[in-house]
Amino acid sequence: MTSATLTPRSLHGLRVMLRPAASYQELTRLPAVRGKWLAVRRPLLFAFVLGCTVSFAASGRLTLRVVVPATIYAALVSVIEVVALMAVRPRALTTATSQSFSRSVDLFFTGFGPWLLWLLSFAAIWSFASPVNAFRWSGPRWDLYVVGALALWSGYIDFCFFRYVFQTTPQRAARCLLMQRAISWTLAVIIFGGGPLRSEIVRSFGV
Amino acid sequence: MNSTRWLAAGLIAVSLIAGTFSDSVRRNPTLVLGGYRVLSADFHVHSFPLSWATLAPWDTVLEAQRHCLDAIAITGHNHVWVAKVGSWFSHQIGGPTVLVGEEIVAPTYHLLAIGIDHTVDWKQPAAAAIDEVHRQGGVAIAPHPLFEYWAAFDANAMSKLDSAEVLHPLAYVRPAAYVQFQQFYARARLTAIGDSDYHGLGPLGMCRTYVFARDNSPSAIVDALRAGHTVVYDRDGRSYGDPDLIRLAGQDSRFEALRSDEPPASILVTLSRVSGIAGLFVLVLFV
Repeated sequence: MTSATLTPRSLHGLRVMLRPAASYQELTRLPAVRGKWLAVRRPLLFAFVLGCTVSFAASGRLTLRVVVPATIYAALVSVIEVVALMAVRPRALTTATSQSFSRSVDLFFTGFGPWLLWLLSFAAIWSFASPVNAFRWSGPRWDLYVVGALALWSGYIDFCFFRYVFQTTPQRAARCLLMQRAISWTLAVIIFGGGPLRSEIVRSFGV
Repeated sequence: MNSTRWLAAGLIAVSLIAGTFSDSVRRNPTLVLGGYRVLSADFHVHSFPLSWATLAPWDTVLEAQRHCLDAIAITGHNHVWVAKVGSWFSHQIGGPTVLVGEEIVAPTYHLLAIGIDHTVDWKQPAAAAIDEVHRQGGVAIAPHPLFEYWAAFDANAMSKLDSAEVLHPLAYVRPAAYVQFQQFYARARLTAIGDSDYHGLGPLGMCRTYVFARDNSPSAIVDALRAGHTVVYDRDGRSYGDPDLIRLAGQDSRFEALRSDEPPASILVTLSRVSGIAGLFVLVLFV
């Protein structure tokens, strides 16, 4: 019996955060889980936490007026991630591993722990600090270092996902990771910040 | 559902109930000083999508109602259609005046265009963009005029520019930025503006402009900006704007009431914060 079997399902996210390689190997050996909600529950959780963070940041509280629409907009992020995952999924995956795509989505979003913790800390800062202090503590410089570290941590977790859940070689896993990031980040930048995109490209690259 | 899930659900439910009950519209009483209608305004507000903001234009209007704002300008990055949606929505619900605007984001400068009808192209120098804004009947504001943007505002552009943000949240985070805003503001005879550059973080109208207009219509507000009829206060009480209006405002206690800060968090708000953060923590780590 593996430690993953003994661990309550509730703590899988924590284990994946701390030991992604070992955890994903163990999780893929567990019996296949089925259910209508499998592909939806973790993406929905992510969207809900993001929606709650928006509510805390904008109004300093959880209010339905903000949580509901913000969760809907945040669901776009989850959809983008799933679309990018679909694009890089190996075609032979299902046959080889009996792994449904729903299960893949569930396992992929299990690795979102670092981002969820970051959202929680952001929500806490904007809830309890004065606006001036909140700006100071979560300003662009803080964001740059913290988000940069999170991107690296999340990148390693997702590399382990592609390596052990998609059962690919390390080189193929790295390619999947880069491709998934290229698709998801490009779509997110266009939808959320596409207004000044061309101007910023000119400014950054002088083209 | 196991006990951990019940705990998370319960905490989040308490937070949502407390937060929603405490979420109420706050309006300023109508204030007329010296024949002017005094309006509390924020002319630099971004909405989702396309402008790195988290709230859609209708959510932004509802949020403005909670922060005693009589007028806002929704300024999409290089587009105006989101602002038009916000303006339409606010008109339907009797909300604050929403001016259609744009933050023109060019490689070497940013420019707020307030009271325009269609998008101003970013592929032109600042002076030409200001001319286009004026042709549409709008006013041009230099937003967050940091030193890196000064070169784009040459003598030609400065002679045409209407206003500049002398107060912006950056002023409270980077003192050097505040000095640059003040220096830019002193370069020409400009209308003083205080804006929040709102993207969804913090209170809308954290920095704001008090506009002395003939009424609260978009055209009256634009005319007031063009005429320099504004007053801006920073958190230390330092004032910028029309000296006569600053004197007029300082003599009236009703204006002081208008300027008062956000009220301290009520018990319901505190309960919403504590139980919400705790509930999300349990949800993320243990469910």
